[in-house]
Amino acid sequence: MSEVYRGRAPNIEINKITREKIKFTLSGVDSSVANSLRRVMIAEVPTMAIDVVHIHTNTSSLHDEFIAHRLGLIPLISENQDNYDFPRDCKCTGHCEHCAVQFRLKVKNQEGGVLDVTSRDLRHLSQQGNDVRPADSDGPILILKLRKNQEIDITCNARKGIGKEHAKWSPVATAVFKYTPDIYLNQQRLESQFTAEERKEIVNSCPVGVYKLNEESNIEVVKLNKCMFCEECMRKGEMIITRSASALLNVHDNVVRVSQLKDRFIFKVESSGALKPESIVSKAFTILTKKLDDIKQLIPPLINTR
Amino acid sequence: MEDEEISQEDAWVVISEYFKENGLVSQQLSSFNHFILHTIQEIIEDSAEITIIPERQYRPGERQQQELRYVISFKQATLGARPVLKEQDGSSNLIFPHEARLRNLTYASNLLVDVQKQSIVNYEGRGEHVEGEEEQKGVFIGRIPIMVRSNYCALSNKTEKERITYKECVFDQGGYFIINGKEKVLVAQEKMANNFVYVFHRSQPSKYSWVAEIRSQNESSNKVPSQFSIRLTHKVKSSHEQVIRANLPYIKSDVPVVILFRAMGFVADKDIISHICYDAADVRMMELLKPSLEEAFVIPSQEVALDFIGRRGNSVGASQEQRIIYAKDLLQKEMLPHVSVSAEYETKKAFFVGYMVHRLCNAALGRNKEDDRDHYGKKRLDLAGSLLANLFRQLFRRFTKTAQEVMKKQVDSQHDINLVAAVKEHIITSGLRYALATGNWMQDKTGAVSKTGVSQVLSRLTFSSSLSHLRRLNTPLQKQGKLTKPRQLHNTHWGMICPAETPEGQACGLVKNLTLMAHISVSCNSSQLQRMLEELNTENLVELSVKNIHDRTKVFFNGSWIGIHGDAEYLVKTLVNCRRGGMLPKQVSIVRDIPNKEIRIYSDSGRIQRPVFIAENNKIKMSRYYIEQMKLPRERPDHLSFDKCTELGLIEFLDTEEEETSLIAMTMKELNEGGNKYHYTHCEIHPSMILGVCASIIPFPDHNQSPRNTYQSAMGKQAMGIYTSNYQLRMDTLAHVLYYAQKPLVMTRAMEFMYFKELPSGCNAVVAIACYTGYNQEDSVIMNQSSIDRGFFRSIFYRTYENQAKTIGGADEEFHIPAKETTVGTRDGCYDKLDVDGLIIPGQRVSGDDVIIGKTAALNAFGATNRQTRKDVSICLRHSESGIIDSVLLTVDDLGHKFAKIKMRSIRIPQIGDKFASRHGQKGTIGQTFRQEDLPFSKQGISPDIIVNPHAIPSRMTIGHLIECLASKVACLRGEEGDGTPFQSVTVEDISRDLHALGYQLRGNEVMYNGHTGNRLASQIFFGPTYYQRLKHMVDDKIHSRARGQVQSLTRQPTEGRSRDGGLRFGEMERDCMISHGAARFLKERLFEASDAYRVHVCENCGLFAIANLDRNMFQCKQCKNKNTRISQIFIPYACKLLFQELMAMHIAPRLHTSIS
Repeated sequence: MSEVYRGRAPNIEINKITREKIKFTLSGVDSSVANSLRRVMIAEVPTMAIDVVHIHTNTSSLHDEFIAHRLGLIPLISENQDNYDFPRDCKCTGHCEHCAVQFRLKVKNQEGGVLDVTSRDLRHLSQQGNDVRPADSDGPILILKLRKNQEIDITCNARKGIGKEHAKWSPVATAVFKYTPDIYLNQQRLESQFTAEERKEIVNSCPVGVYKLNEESNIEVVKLNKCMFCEECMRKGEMIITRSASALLNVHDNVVRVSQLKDRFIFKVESSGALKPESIVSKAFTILTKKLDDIKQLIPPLINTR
Repeated sequence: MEDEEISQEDAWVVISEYFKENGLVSQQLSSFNHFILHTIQEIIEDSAEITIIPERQYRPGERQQQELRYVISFKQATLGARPVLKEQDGSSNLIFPHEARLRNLTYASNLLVDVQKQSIVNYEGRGEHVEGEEEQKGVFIGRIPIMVRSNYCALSNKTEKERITYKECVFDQGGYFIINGKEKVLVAQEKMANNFVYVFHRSQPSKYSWVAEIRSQNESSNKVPSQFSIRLTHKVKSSHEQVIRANLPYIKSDVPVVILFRAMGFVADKDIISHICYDAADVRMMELLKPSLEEAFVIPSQEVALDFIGRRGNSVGASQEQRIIYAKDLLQKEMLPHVSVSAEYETKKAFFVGYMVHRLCNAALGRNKEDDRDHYGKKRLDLAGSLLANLFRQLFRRFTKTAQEVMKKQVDSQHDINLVAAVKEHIITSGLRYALATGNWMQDKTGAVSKTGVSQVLSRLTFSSSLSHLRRLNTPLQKQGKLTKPRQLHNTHWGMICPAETPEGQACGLVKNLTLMAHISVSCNSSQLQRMLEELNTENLVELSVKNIHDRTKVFFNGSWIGIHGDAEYLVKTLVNCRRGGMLPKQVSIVRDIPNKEIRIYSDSGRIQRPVFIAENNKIKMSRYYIEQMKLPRERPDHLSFDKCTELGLIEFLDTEEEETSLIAMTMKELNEGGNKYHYTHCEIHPSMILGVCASIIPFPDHNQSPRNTYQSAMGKQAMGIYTSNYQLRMDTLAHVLYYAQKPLVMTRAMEFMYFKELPSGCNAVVAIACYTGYNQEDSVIMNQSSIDRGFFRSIFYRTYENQAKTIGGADEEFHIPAKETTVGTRDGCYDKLDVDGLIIPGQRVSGDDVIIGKTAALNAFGATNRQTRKDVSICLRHSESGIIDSVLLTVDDLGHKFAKIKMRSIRIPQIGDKFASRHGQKGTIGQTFRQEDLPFSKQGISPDIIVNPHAIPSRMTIGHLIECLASKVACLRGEEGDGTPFQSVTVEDISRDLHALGYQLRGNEVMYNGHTGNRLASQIFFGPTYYQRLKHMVDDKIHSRARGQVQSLTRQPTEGRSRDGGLRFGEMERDCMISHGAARFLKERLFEASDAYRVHVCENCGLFAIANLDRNMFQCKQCKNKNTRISQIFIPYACKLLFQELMAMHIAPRLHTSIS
């Protein structure tokens, strides 16, 4: 790449943390690192999710498989997932308290009307594993509805898994990054070759309002981070130049140029509720380093010691 | 407010009111209701009385008795109030459709008729005297299948809630029958209208240059239409004379038309000419008629003319008087029966024949064009009602005939007439049931079926496919015919027939679909109309003066000429006003043909009509005032119903013919902006109503290339969704139900009326149009595996297995777990899942070849060994399927057989190879699934559910697909429903502006990042939600391979088809490949040695197969007395050996001459 190497050090700068969302800027790395982080957050951070369902009674209008699928998708708070083993690593056959948390869902509508069965109706079967519970701080999650005299009785096991196996184990709703925008405005030309009307056109061409006209009716970048590289402003600038008389001069030189800084990534991670957003990020780093470590282990000791 | 103009939006209030009132299958229901209410009674009354004259009995010693005869006549018919079922145990129960479906019953009501028996005594020479009269009320003559949701159905007048308690689908519209538990639709049959004069040109090889034809059928009779035609010969070089001939029914050769006139009593040349040529100054027509007059010069009088005709009929060896009577009779009854069949027919028929000649001459003189055979105004549709009427008429005739035979026998054997014994109710019951069950409509005497496929099993794949099926039309035309004309879309189809929805291939254009608002007329009482015409000073044909015809307007009613009228404008205006005021039925059509000076009035059944706004002085008569009234709740007394609108003269129904005499503005805007340039008579309610059920699902169809809409119309029927709201209670042989069906983000207004929101058939998928790895080439798509995990396009598949234990007629079958010791032929599958009653337990997980119904049959005396007495006839699950038993039903059918239905369900998760389609004829299979992290993502972290390849777009020009995506994106961001109704003013520019305002690139493109690498994709991606459908074709139902396996017993070649674990054919072309590769030995090995090689022995003398006993090493050929010498052993394919033996059976000797090389 033609870009000059800039001495850089990786850095993380946290912009915002809420209960379900984290925004941070990762800088000083290449897109490969940023993307590895993103991919690990989506697919490899383990969580707990209902995986095995035993249906004892089901007289509801939904059939067994339907309910089982819906149960699986309920996010379970998995902050303590390190305490559990992956079922494949557990020594037990079937399930034990090291690899599974058992729930029971037993509801019958006796009153009449329509009864909502929600994640709040899931009860732990034993004392252990109370830390793993449905993440329903935003209100109960609807599983199904029961009419009068309909009944369900289900026991189910929550187990540890990763998003690669099934999306229900993915701790994130989205984990996404974008490059940092870098906007260059050729103010001199904008002022000399563009009318105020045309400058306004450029400002209005941006769907997200990155630009503003200041008092002297000059273009000013106000919300740089909003930019989504749609390049409407560049296109508009070009269009105005080509339609004006000065088209013959300096066509190659854009008046507006949107480019991206390729070592600064703005991340946004939204949690599904199973893990706190910040722990998703930190766990992802742990997993990433472990992966690298695992590879390192494979290097023959001879080379290692040399 | 009274005359405040209405907007296009208000039109939707009217449309909505129309559908609330009529539903979507009103044509089926009204046709059937008319059949029950009027036609049955008419048919029964029209049937001839049964007269039974006892064979004269002579008793020695007794005096000759007076002549006695019995007359049996059928009077009032009554239909049982509700469908009933007579159970095998003798009890009678009322049944509801759901029970009929589950128990394989026929949903039918009893037809009862009052029968009158008269014994009439004929005293010789002293007249007749009715001796005894006796009426038997309510004789049961048969069961009539009842159309679901018709007025005679148990569900009529039931509220939505009540229907739910009867386990019906809330949205089900009815319009079908239930025969042996199967839902059957009677598909409307298109035919040429009767009583129409058509003038056609014939080219050279034919003897005639112009032909005027008519298929005439009297309204009240049920005879086969009688053909009548008038023909003009070609100009022959030798003589310039063109003569006009008539072709009469039953007359072998053509009769000069002048002779026909003379036979009807019009002898003088002048008289004849005045009936043909109304304008005395029309020299050219006279000139044309001259040769014909000269030709008939030799026949001077009526008698001679009648004899001339009679001679050419079936009157061999008859005397002259007989011939004349025969000819007279023929003219009265067989020729043009629709004009008259009564005794004073001459004037009317002469006028009609004259009119036909007139038309013929006009065409021959180049004044009028040839008639258009495909004009839709000349087509009539036979709906369920008329189809059933024809069938019932035939069956009733057969019924009376058998009754007569039985009663004759009773009387002749000195018994009293026993009506109950003579009435064979099964003739009608099983006759109707047979026709409805098989679709073989009307059999003639020889048993040949005249129409097939009339009754079809209602498609229940998606709700819209059911609806579309109920609105289907069929043209019974030879499907191979190369003629393209009848298949093409005709101008007159506008608004009546959907331009998009037709199958591809053989039936293209022959199978059509009604548009949403098309309505089919049922016949209405014509006497009132005829009286009205008379009162309005129509001059009767009998009274009119011939001179007046030219200046006045001819009035036709249902194809027959009834008179002339001096003031056509006035007559038409009055009639139209009467219709608009509700004094005439709304299905009457009044056509004024100004150039030909004709007024044609129709009241017959089977015409397609559609509602339009009435306009006067370029203003729609419907106003805001009425719209507001219409918006009121239906219970309110001041609510304005659609029907009321037709009586208030706001809306009227036009049929195809009348439509042609109207000027209909496309939109209200056109009406207002036109100024006074045009005088519009009507305005379309909404142009999008030209589409049918399936095409109405497509958003922005007016932006698509037209075949794409046709493809989607066919594909929408294969989409999964929720096909009825009671699917859990039904036991359909095959059913697919989508887990999370969504209503589309972009709807069309018409979808609302088809309950698409309530019973949708697809999902709003986030779609990116990109290549991305290329796993979506050639109409495949990439799908998001994470979305699939979360339930995207998951569906349930239901299959019902059905079996009955026959216990009647010597069979002795029983449901139970077959005992291994006493049963022969037990299956390989697993019997352990059966319950004690021999049926599988609900909730069981089953897989291929598991036994689901345990059943055995008694072995007959020959087959039974001492230990094993029963044969296993258990039912196994299809070997390629697996699932969970959903429900088990065990009941008794109407014959008392125990029978079981078992419903299995399996979950179908989308996987590579499954088929999906957007609503624009863009179908594709999954080529690859990627997890969320591998998919491209947008700035917001959204990754697509489906990635389609951009190459699917340019050549197919489905712009509607792109606009749908754009509009969906806006709809989704705003949380509103998008509007994709065709022919409205929304433009791409409007949608783009909205999208830009919402903070997105205005054309819907987004910057995306590669999920594998994290790099930005070089180009922006067109990205947004689009409604996708999952189609029923899935790999799991198709995947098939076989190494070795079953062979057919006859040919010993591998079986065919996946369900029989068949082989894959190595066909001729594959064989050719092998040969051209020089792999002949391989070919022989594969196709012969590893296939059906067979060893035979051939006699070297005669070349035929010899007898071989390999154990004893004995070989012989009996015919040749050739033993153990001169016999060769050869290897041939078993199929070849079979062929030789079959040839030998046909007295062909295939001789094999062998030699050792």
